[in-house]
Amino acid sequence: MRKCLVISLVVILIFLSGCAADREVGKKEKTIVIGTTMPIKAENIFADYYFGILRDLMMDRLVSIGEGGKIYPELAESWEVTESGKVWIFKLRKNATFHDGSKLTAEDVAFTINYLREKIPEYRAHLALVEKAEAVDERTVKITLSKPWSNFLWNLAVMNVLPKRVWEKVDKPLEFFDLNATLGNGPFIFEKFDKASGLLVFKANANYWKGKPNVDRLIFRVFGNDQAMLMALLKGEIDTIYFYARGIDPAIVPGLLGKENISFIIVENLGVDNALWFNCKRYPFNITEFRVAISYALSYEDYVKYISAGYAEVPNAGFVPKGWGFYKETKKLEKNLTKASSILDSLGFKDCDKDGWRDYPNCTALEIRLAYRTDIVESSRLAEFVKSDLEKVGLRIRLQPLDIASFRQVLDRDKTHEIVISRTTMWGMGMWAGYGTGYFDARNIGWAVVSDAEFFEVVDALLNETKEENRQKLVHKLQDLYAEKLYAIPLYWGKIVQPYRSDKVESLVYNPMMGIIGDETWFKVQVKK
Amino acid sequence: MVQGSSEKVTVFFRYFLTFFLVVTLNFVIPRAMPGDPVVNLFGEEAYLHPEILQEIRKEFGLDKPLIEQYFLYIENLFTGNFGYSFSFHKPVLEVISEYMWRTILLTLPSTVVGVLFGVYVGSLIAWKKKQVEVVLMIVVYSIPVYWLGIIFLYFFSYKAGIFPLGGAISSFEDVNKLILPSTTIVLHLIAINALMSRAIVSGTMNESFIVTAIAKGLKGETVLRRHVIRASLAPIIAMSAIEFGFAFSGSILVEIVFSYPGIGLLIWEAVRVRDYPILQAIFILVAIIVISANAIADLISKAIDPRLRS
Repeated sequence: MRKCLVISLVVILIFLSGCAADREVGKKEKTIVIGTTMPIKAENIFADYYFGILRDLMMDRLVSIGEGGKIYPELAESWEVTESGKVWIFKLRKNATFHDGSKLTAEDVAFTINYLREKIPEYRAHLALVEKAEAVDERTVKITLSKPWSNFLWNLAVMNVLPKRVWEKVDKPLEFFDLNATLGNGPFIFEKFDKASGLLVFKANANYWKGKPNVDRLIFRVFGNDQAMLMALLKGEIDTIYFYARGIDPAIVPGLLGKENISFIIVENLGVDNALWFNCKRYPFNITEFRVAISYALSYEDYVKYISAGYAEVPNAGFVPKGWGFYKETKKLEKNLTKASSILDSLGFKDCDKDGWRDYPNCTALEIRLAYRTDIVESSRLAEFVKSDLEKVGLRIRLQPLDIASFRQVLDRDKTHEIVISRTTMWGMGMWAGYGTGYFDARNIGWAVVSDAEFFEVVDALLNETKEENRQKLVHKLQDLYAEKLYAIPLYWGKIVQPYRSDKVESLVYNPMMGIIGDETWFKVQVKK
Repeated sequence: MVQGSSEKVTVFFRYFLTFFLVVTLNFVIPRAMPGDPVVNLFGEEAYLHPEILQEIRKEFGLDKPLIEQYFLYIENLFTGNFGYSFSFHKPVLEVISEYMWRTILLTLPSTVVGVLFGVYVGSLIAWKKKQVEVVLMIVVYSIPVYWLGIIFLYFFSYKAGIFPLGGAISSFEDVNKLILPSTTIVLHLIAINALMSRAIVSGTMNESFIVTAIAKGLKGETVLRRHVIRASLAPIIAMSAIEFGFAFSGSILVEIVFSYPGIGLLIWEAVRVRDYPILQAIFILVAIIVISANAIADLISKAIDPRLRS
C-alpha cells in the first residue's frame, strides 16, 4: 500500500513538473508567444511554404509593402528606373549585416535574384521578366528586365536576400536543412524548432540595422486545431495568434468579447475575404447580364451580419477594397430579386418544364456548380447562404466542396469550375498588374478566366505604366470595368480581427501584408510580463 | 503431412495475395483522389506556369505513364526504397521514422491497456449480465473521439490546468503530454473491445459445454476462467490483432485535437498536399502490421484452441 502511495506521488510530481516546465515557456524576459495553426514542418523557407511565411523575421527584402499597398524602402534605401523602364538601379543601406556579422552587399542581392530564378520554381514567375542582376559596386545593384514592368517592386517585396557565401554551395535549396538555411539579416535569429512540442524559437538580432527589437525572444507555438489555440489564448499561454493573411473567424469574436484581458486589433482587410468568381469562359457565365442578374440575387447585408459577425461592410461592384491607394468609389452592390428575375427572364433563362427551376433558353435543365474551399470555414458557411439566395430566383445550385488540393487543381490548373467562392490575399491583390488583376486575367492565375480585349488593354497598359498620375487613371478605369462587367462579385469587404492578451502585450502593429509579424510590430510592441 | 504443407502454402498464398492487393490499392487510391501534388508545392498566390509544372512533374517521375510508375513503385518496394517525399523534400523513411516513434509511444501502451481492459470488462459484463455497464460502453463508444478529446482538453487543460493543451513528448519531463491523448484512446478502445467481447462471450455462454460445466457444480469464476474465456479467446485475439494494426495509423483525430505530431498528423498533412510517397509508405507499413498481427493471431488461436487445428 505504501509502495503504491510512493509511486503515485512520484507520478504526480512528474506530471506537475511537466506542467510547470510547460508554463516556463514564454516567461523569460520580453518574450512573445504566438499561437498558430499553420502546419509548419521544416526549417527551410523554400521547402516549407508555412515556414517561408516567417522568413521576414530572419531575412529582409529590398522593399516592403505597407499602408494602402504602398512600397517602402527596406534594404534598398533608394532606387531609380531608367526611361526605358527596363533597368532598375537599387542603392543599398550601409549598415546592414547578416546575423554572423558579415556585411550584406550588392553581391548578395544580385546572387539572390539569379539564384532564385534558377532554382526555385515560384520565383521563376515572380521574377519572370528579369534578364540579369549584377552588382555594380558594394552598394549598388543593377537589374535588367526583358521589358518594362511597372509592378516589379511588388514582386521584389517577396524576395528576401540570402547570404551568397552560404547558398552558392547549395545546389538543391529545397533539400537544404541546416541552421545556415535560416541565416539572414532580419530582426530575429532562428534558434530552434522543437517539432515534438511544436515550438519555433527566435531570438532578437541585437545588430539589426533598424536597432534591436523590443522583444528578446519570439516563440511560435503550433497547434493542430483552432479550439486548442483559443483555449491557450484565454489561458494566457500564448499572447496572440497568427495565420498568414487572415485574423480569426469573425464568428468566434462575440464569444471572446468581454473576456478578461482579451483585446483586439481590428483593421480593414486589403484582400477580399470572399468573392463569387465566375468562369467567364463558360456559358452562361460569359454573359455579363447573367452575372449582373446573379449580383442582384445576393444578400450582402446578411453576409456582413451572419458570416462576418458585423466586422465587414457591403462591398462596391468595383471589387478593390477601400484601403487601397487609387481606390475609386463605384456602385454599391445591392439585393433586388425583381431585377435579378427580370434580367434572367429577358435572357431566356425561364422555367420551361414548370419544375420550379430555371432552364437554359433551349429548355434543357440548368444546374450551376458552386465550388468552395473547405479549409476556410467562412467560405463553407457562405456557400450555403449563396445557394439559398440563388435558389430564390430559381437557379438550381449544386454545392461542390473542395479541399485545398482539389481546389487548386480545379481553379489554378484545369479551370473546370463554374462559379466559386474564394478569397484573395493582400499580396495576391497586388500581383500581375496589381488591383486583383492576377486573379482575373486568363494569362495569370485567372480564376475568372477573363480574356476580354478591353480588360487586356487596361492590364497591359498598367503593366507598362510607371507614372503615378497615368497609373491612377488606369486603376480607376479598371475598377469601372470590374463594376460594369462583374467578372467576380465581392460578397463582403471584411475586417481583420486579431485578438491578443492585453495583460501581456500592447501596441502590436498590423501590417497589411504580413499581419502582426511585420517589422513595425517589433519596434513598437510593449511586452508587459 | 502433405495436407499440412499444402495448407501452409494456401495460407501463405492468402497472405501474399492480400499484401499484393493492398500494395496495388495503395498505389491507385492516392492517385484517384482529385488534386495535383505538383500544384500543391506552390504557395497560394503563385502563378503556375505549365512549363514549370511539367518540369517538376518530370523531376518526381509523375510525367511517366501510370503503368510505368506502378512497376517502378513495385520495384522500389522490393528493394526497400519507399521513395522521396514531394512536400518534405526528404526520403520518405526519414520522414516517417521522425514521426513514427511519437505515435508508437502514444498508441502502443494505450492499445495494450485499452484492449486488455476492454476484453476483461466485456467478459465481466457478459458473465454478470450487466445492463447499465453496456449502456455506459455504448455511450462512450458513440462519442466521437474528436469530441471526447476536446472535452478533455476543455476540462483538464483549460479549466483545471492539470495538463498542457497539446504537443508531444520530447523529454521525460513532458510525459504529462501523453496522459490526455492516451486516456482518450484507451476509453474509446475499452468501449469497443468491451462491447465486442461481451457479444463473443455471451455467445459462448449459450454453448452446451458451459451448461454442462455449471451442471457439474463448478464455481462461477472457474467456469468463466477455464471454459468461457478460453473458448472465447480465439475470436477475441483475432479482433485485438486488428486493433493493434490500426494503433499505428488510427489516431489521426486524436493527434489533431492534441496537436500531437505523430503519424496521424503526418497522414493528414500528406493527404492535404497529396504527397503520394508518404501515403503509400504509411499504408504499406499499416498493411504489414495488420497482416502480421493477423498471422500471429491465427497461430496463437490455433495454439490455444484445439478446435481450430482440426
